[in-house]
Amino acid sequence: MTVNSITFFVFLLCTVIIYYSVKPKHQWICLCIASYIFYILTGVSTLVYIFITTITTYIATNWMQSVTKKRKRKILTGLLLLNFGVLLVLKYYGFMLFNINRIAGIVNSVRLDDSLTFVAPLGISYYTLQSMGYAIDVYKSKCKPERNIFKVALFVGFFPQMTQGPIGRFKDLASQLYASHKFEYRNFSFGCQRILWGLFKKTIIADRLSPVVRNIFTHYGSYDNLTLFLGCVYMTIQIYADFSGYMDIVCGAAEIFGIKLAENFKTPFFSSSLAEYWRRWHITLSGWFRDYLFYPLSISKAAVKFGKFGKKHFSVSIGKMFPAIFALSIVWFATGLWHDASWRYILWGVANGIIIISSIWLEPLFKKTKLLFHIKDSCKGWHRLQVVRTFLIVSLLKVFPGASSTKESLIIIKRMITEFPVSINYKSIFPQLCHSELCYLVFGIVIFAGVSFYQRKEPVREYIARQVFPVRVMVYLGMIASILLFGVFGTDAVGGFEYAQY
Amino acid sequence: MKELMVILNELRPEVDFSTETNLLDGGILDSFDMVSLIGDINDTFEVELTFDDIDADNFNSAEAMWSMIERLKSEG
Repeated sequence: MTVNSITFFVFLLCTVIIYYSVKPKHQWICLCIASYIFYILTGVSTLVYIFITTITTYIATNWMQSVTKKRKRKILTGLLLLNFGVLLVLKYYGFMLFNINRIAGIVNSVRLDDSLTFVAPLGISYYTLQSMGYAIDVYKSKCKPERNIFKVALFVGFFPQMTQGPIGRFKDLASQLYASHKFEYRNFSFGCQRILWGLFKKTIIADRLSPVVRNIFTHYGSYDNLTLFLGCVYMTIQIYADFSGYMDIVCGAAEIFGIKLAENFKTPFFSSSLAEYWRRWHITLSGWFRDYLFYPLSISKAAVKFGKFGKKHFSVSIGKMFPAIFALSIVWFATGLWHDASWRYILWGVANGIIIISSIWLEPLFKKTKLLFHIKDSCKGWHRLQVVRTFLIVSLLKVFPGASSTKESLIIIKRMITEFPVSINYKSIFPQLCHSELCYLVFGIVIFAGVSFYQRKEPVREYIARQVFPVRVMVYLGMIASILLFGVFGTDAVGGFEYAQY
Repeated sequence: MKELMVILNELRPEVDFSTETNLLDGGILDSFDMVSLIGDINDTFEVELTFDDIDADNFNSAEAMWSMIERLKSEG
């Protein structure tokens, strides 16, 4: 059951009716039961893993309350090892075995039995990070542990966010989940509006571009370098429409219950650098890695030693950057690996890391160059140029997740660099798209871009809410009509969301 | 406190650290600033910040940072 399916909306409607019909103090129980019914409907065989996470998190967080600091650290370490161990085995066992056997083949050693396989349960990468973040916060006394195991179960598995996030923080989310909520027209209308907006992006843009992108990367040998480059650009737009569309649907669904989930996007395509882009894209994941991986790594003994080495052999100012560079290298490797157990995703993560580290390293040089050419950071033209450059970098890096293997992504990069476009015509720019399809796509992108521009001034929903009733109705009807008339409803539309596979 | 203000003003000259109370939560100090700041605090005040100390409560204002430094110094 994906969140853009009819089944999901029927399920959501039933849950909303029951939620507002039961006694307010029982509302959280309703959400808890609905969440696990949702999970069962998506794959009952994997329910055991979410139970392991819930039970171990509950025991460890409560145990930490009554012990010394040293013991607390041991309990947390045990919990992290167990849960990340489960994640590692379920998600990365096949990948690790494949690589071990490849090395064994090279050195003529005995190959390991690879007949055993595991299926990673839906959403494990998301709920593991959310639960472990909560445990670390309890360890740091940033929040108190929840005494009711069923409430912990709801926090771990709240159904709108369980499969693809956003990765919530206990202090922001838990109180909302457990509180009673009265039915409010504003929450209901804002929630529905947001769901419609998510469906608009998903059906009109993402699902229309998805077969085009898949075709370009699958048959990359049949296209020249202009189409390959455009394939990367189209994939960037497709993924954004897909992932942010999903977020709009789940945030909208939660809003109907009076629950505000953390935002995952802040108009990322207006970023002027790759580092800024990552602060505005998949914010809850970047925030998790920053708080629970980057900071501990950057103050670790290894990072401090690395910093001292930098200060001794280079200069004090360069040496200061070394701990951050050390931590960033590991964080970007982990980010790549988190997305998928494959070398092409690791390469994608490493490439992101190299660009961000290089920009930190070369910042003094950039500053001198800007002074030389009298370029001011406040200059609008310069800022726009930086925004376009960042979008192109993000797009070009899509060559790694876009291709189906590391070898293919490297071939595509080589072709994009060394070849020149053979012919520029409609088919090389818009392969697989007829004129009417292109018109629908452009319509969707223009509306999406317009909303994103306006969003920088104020939330569009606030603007719509200020309008008179007939105008608001027209907006709703316009969105529904656009989805029904211009949306893609086929096998691709019910095929789920890109980020669910992570 | 004076030494801390020198470090902060060197790090981000455009920020008024005497009045700002939302440095970390408000995103005024980014993660790179934080790593650089932690290194400077460790070196200047001869303390050793741990993961437990990296918290918005300790870094949202210059005053909060100074309280943390004094606490760490007293703990030895």
